[in-house]
Amino acid sequence: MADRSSRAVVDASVLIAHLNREEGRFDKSRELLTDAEAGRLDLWAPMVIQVEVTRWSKDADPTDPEGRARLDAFLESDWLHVVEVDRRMARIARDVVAKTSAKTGVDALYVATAVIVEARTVYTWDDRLQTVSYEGIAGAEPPGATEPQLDLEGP
Amino acid sequence: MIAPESQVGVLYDAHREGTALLTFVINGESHEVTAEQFRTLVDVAVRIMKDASQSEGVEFTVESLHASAPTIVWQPQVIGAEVDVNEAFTNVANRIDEGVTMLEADEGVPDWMAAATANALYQASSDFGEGSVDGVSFNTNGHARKLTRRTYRTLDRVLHEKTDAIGSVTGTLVTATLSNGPHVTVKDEIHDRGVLCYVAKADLRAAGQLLGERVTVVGKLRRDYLGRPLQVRNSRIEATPEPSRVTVAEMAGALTGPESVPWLREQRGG
Repeated sequence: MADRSSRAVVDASVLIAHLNREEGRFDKSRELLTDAEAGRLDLWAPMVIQVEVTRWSKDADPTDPEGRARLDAFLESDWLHVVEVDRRMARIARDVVAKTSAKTGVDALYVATAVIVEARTVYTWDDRLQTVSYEGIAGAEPPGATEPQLDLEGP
Repeated sequence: MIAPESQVGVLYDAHREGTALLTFVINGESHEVTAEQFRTLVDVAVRIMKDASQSEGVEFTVESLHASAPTIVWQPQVIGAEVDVNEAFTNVANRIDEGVTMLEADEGVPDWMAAATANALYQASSDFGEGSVDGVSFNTNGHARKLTRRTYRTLDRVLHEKTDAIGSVTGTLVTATLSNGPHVTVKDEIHDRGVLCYVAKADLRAAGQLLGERVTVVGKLRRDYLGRPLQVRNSRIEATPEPSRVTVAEMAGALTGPESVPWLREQRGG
């Protein structure tokens, strides 16, 4: 596996903040996802992320008629590595629930994904998930771009 | 700096008052331990220490060697910026402590231990208690945790453990054959490994038409102890074309919906 520092788990809140262009969250979400798309970072998530984001989209107004198909394609992007929820994942998630402040089973699945893929960070906008600490894994908000961004609109 | 409270007991507490040293002992008389055994067991010890310290920003150097019982004393050295060596050592030591306890108590393989390390330890421990080596120990200031033949039995069980459940594999169909029962091989795109998918003989021809295509196979899925798919029985194979591509930039603000965090909290509960 690659260096642990080059891989991380991403929570559905980051994808939704990007799709939703949320104030205060959009820029860093976009930068994190762009880093993954450019191969500067391996982003992982439990497969449930696809269901969560799709369910969120049902409560959203697509800006064009092909929104659903584009969202499906977005969630199948090869820069977003998904991990199946199997027995090992479930066992680790149970341990996360037992030993940490994780409030829900889905939160625990994100942390368990980090264990499975040997990542240290779960990027999330949820400050509740940010406080979870397990086996050297911690939640954190997206840090911003790893590469300097070009100011294409500057003077 | 004071190291955090131990998660697993007192085994490594003593180092806080002295130098952080991790001692590895091969429990056997020096003159009875062959060069090959020594090489193998040190390799396993290094793998274990490397796995246990992977995120800590330290590496171990040899502080001293003794031959009375083959012994190596390791000392952590900082390799990352802003690393508290005592805290890192405590974390590593606790992980090894907990891992050895798990292995000896038949509670499974610690999650931090890589599959290659578990396999190497399995091979190396096969002679524990039956030849010149009883086991190996990791210890600090006299407190020891020993890997014995019980560890071999645990690994023998766990590494051969397989689970069956209804599931699916998605990847590229790379072979279709009648040899050893009609089956196709799908290169699983998550684990990048070939998975044997057994089909009814009458369905093999249709499956063969999908050679080189992206497919999803649903059936009775067998996985190894790491959750990697091994084979699928009673397979049903469906073509699964690659979805069209969209970029991150194209999806910026593509939908307008409820705010992410409150919406997710409501959905997840807790």
